[in-house]
Order: sequence, then structure tokens, then C-alpha cells
Amino acid sequence: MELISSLLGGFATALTPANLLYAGIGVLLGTAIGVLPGIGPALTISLLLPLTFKLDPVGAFIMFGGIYYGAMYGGSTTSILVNAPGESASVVTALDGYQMAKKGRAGAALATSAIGSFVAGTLATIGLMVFATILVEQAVKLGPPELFAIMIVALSAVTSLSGTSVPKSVFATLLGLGLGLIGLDNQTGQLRLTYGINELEEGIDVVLGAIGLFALSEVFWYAATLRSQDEHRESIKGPVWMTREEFSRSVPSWLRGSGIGFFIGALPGAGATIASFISYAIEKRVSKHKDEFGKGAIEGVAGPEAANNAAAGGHLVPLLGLGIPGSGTTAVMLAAFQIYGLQPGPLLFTTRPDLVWGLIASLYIANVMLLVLNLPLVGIWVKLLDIPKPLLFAGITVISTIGVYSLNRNAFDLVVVFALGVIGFLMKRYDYPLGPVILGIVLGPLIDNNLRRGMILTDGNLVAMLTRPATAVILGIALLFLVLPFAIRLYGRARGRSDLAMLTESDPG
Amino acid sequence: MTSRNPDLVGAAVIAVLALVTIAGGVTTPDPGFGVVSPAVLPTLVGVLMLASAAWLAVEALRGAPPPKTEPIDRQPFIYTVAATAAFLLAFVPLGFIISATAFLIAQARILGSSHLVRDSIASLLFIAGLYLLFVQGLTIALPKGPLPF
Repeated sequence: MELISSLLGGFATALTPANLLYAGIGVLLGTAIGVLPGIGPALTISLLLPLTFKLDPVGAFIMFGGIYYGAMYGGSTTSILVNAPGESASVVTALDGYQMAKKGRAGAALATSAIGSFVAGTLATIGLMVFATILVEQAVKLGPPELFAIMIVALSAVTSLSGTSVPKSVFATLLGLGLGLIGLDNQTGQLRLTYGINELEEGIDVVLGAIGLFALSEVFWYAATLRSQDEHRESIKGPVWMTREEFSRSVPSWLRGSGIGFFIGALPGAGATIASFISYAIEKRVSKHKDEFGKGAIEGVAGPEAANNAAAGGHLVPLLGLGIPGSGTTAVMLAAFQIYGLQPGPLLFTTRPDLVWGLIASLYIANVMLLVLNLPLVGIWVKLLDIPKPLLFAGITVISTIGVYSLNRNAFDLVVVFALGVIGFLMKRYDYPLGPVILGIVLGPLIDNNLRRGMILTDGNLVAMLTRPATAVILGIALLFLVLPFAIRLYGRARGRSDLAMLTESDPG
Repeated sequence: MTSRNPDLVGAAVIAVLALVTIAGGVTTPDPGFGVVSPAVLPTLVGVLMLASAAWLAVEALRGAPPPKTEPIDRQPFIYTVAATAAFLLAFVPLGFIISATAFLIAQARILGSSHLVRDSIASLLFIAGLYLLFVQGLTIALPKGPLPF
């Protein structure tokens, strides 16, 4: 089978000593940074980007695979032990995970989340391989109008699924699009939205967006809420392992969580956070131990943890298959590809199979490494939380600065990132979601390009372009996404279901 | 804090930003080739942004609950923003080592650390480590400032 031979080729690439080392470094750094509170996968990748500048693209992406899966995993440790989720996708894990830790079952909670992450990560990588290959075959038939429509779906999904206020999410998306359009228009060579500032001609890099909006704003946030910081950490009592009963209760939850996570993650715009919330709701519904939920039910940890890790694999489907990111994290990954002059999508499968399959193979390897490393090293991860917070947050600013400066060696970028940090802080304070901004920055120029190339195909007839059968169907889906949150909220209100209302809350990843 | 509804203030700020975007959009020159002018999408983004501002204002005026905000710890917040701005401005002229070490020590103090000696040692070690990793290990050039390295 072609799939198997491609994958074997990928393993041949990924299993060289150097690439194994890169995967290992990626996994360790990704977990270490992911453990830290307030730092999600998008930011982890942005911060660690300069580390890969000197690597060849294959090595760099193998390291990214490790960082990505490591960062997804890292968040669960803080959720369970400190009740302070390291990233939004682990918020649900804290509900029952922290309760388990309080009862002295921290070891079991950590074990179920580690093994669940491994199961989910492996299943999702298999799914990624199968669906991305199918998508690639279909994607060749898609023209600019369809690609335009798919990006509109991604934007409407992100807009409708993040944040509590629709106009605020809409604004966040538009802000991202606007930032993305700044600079030289590559079709006509005209400058757009630069207002006479020469330094803006190159445009605003999404990495600046991620570091400003997520890193600096987080430091400002910490400073602004200094007096209300209070954390109590549970210690790990007993071995990091599960009893036979806990294990057998976890297995079905892992599998359900993996399936839910992968398919929700593969939808553009729907994040790991939503996948973990849905998984939690389902686990609660099917469980024989409903009364334990909220008081330390192991299913409430196993399902959502599997779901958020599977979603990470699912996110890569549209990125690798179509070249279209569906989340803030994959938007940063796309930016990383672009730094190497690579455009993910169907073409990359034919031009650089070593890279694509090397990345996929390294995801399997990263999963195994995470399983082997994480449980024994959990003590070290917890130690990271001992770094005095003032030094930690000061250090984040310094590392962010190195990351920004090393991109273009441009002092003006530092000004931009500072401005974005302040904007990010204000948006966070007044409940504007940040994820759509990041996605907008990346999709802005892509949407513009495909819209205009599509219009050339139809001689400037917008209606003809949007009513091509495939385009119309895809835009119909976009419309559905825009109506969905209203429908869910109405339904939730009618049934008095607060868990459904929660689903439409913030998703910065 | 004031008693104004932050969502109304937000809507006003968004409206201004939208007008700036529209102004930037409509003044983009159209070289005349291509079916769609490069001015179209920026202008459209600005117009939709204006619509989102109006939407937000209408929701707020109709009594949508304003966002819950905790009072800000003004002093550490303002000092942090100022220290960050100073660090970013000094990064190139003073160089990585000097600006980052000074910033780390200052920032740790602002955020409530009272161990000046410990922080200074930790900062120097941390900066030295980053320098070795990025400049020596990864050959990424960082600004030197007045120092020879």
C-alpha cells in the first residue's frame, strides 16, 4: 500500500539519530513550557521558533511535532496538581483532576491523562495520515474560489465558537484580517494600510501576533492581578499509576475522547477546548458513576485529556491537507512553514514527501517519547512550578524579545510586539477572544489572494464565483457555523443547560 | 475605575479603528490591472469592523451585562508596562546582555521579589545561558551594544 510505504519512508527520515534528538528536545521543551501556567501551544511554538532557525526544514518540523504534542500534554499536569490549567484545553481536566489530587489520587489522574494522551495521540496521528491523504487527493480539484470559501468557513467557525459575545469575536477576527493585510500587496505591488510607515511594508508576521497577544499580554495580566494570585498545590501521594478498576474505567473514555477530539479538531475553527468540553459532557452522560463527576471521576480526566490531544492531531488535517490552518496554534505552524519558504497543502506531499512523512512519523515517535518520559519525569515538571513567578514572567518577556528580534533583526518589530501586548491585555480584560486575531493575521492575505484569483476565473463576477457548486456548499457550511452559537445558546437557555452555554465560551488556542 | 460601560468605550475605540482602516483602504491606489482592486478587501474589513462596533454598542445599550473586571493592581501593572517598553527600546542600543539583565532584575522586583542578590545572580546566569544557547550554540546574532560580545 502506498500509505504504508510513504509512512515507512517517513520513519526512515525521522529515525536518524539527529532527527530523533530533535524530536526528543521538542518533546521535553514543549512539555516544560506547556506546564507553565498561561502558556498554551501556540505561544510555546512561537517562543521556541528561533531554536529551529539553524536546522534543516525536516529537522525543524520534527522538532515542532514534538513541541506541539508536548505542549498539549504539559497543560494537564498543572490542571491536576494546581487547579491552574496551563492552557485552555485543559480547563475541563482541572474539574475532576484536581478533585482526584485532593483525595490523594493525583498519581492516578496523571497516569490516566498520560496514557490517554498517548492513545489519543497515536489514534489521531493514524487519522491524520488517512484523512490528510484523502483530502490531498480531493484538494487538487479545488480552485481559488473553493479555497476562499473554506477559509471563510474557518473564520466563521472560529468567530462563532470563541468568546461570549458575538460582536467581540467578529471584531477580533476583523482585527486579525486587517493586521494580515498590512504591507505590500503581492498581486499589484501596492502598499496597503501602511500609513506611510516604511517599516510596515513587510507586513506583520503572525509570530509577532502570537508573542505580543499571548506572551506579553500574559505578563501584563500577571502584573495587573498580582495581589489576587494565590495557588495551592496538591502533592503526589503514592505511585503514579492506576488501580485495575481505574484503568478499566479509563479505557472506554480514552477511545471516545480520541474519536470526538480528532473529528472536532479536524473541523476548522473548533478547538481542542471545545473537544474537551464535549468529551466531558458525554462522559458524564454515559457514566455509571454520574455522582462522582465534579468530585474526582477518573472518566472526567481520561476523556477530555484524550480529546484535547486527539484534537491536536485533527488540527493538522486541514493544515497539511489544504494548507489552511483551523486554529491559532496551526496558524503559527503555517507561519513556521512559510519561514522556510514552504506552503503546506497538496503540493507539499509531492514536492517534499520526506518532510511531510517525516513530520507524521515523528508525531508517532513523539507520542512514545511522551509516554516514556512523562510519567517518570512528572516530579521534574512539577518542580518547574517552583520557579519564582516574578523571575518566570520576566524571563518570558526576555525570551519573547529574542524570538521577535531573531525573526527579522528589526527593532521596529519590538515596537509592534509591545503594542500588540497592550492590545492583547485590554482585549483579555474586556472579554475579546484572542484566537481569531491570530488566525485572521494568517488568513488575511490568503483570503485576499484566493478571492481575487477566483474573481479572475469568473471575469469579475462575484455571484458566478460564489455559486460554483462546491463553493456554494462550503459557504453554506460557513453560514451554519455563524448561526450555530445562537442555536446552541437558545437551546441551552430553553433547557436550562449551563454546560451547553459553556461550550460557546472562550477558546484562545 | 469609572462607571462607564467598558463595552461602550470598546465600541467607540473599534469605530475609530474601523474609520482608520477604511481611510487606509480607500486611499490604496489601484494600478488598474487585475479584476479586483487591492483596495477592496481592506475597505470591506473596515466597513465590517464599523458594523461590529455598532452591534456591540447596541447590545450594550440594550442592557447586555458588561464584562466582569477585577480592579487592576496599578503600581505593578504600570511599572511592568513601562519596564517592558524601556527594555524593548534599549534592546538594540544597549545590547542583549545589558538590557536583558537589567530588565530581569527590575521586573522581578516590580513583581514583588525582595531577594535582590538572588535575583541578580539568577538573572545573570539565565542571560548567560540564553547567550550561550542562542548566540554561541545557534549562531543567532543578538545586539551587542557597547559590549564586545
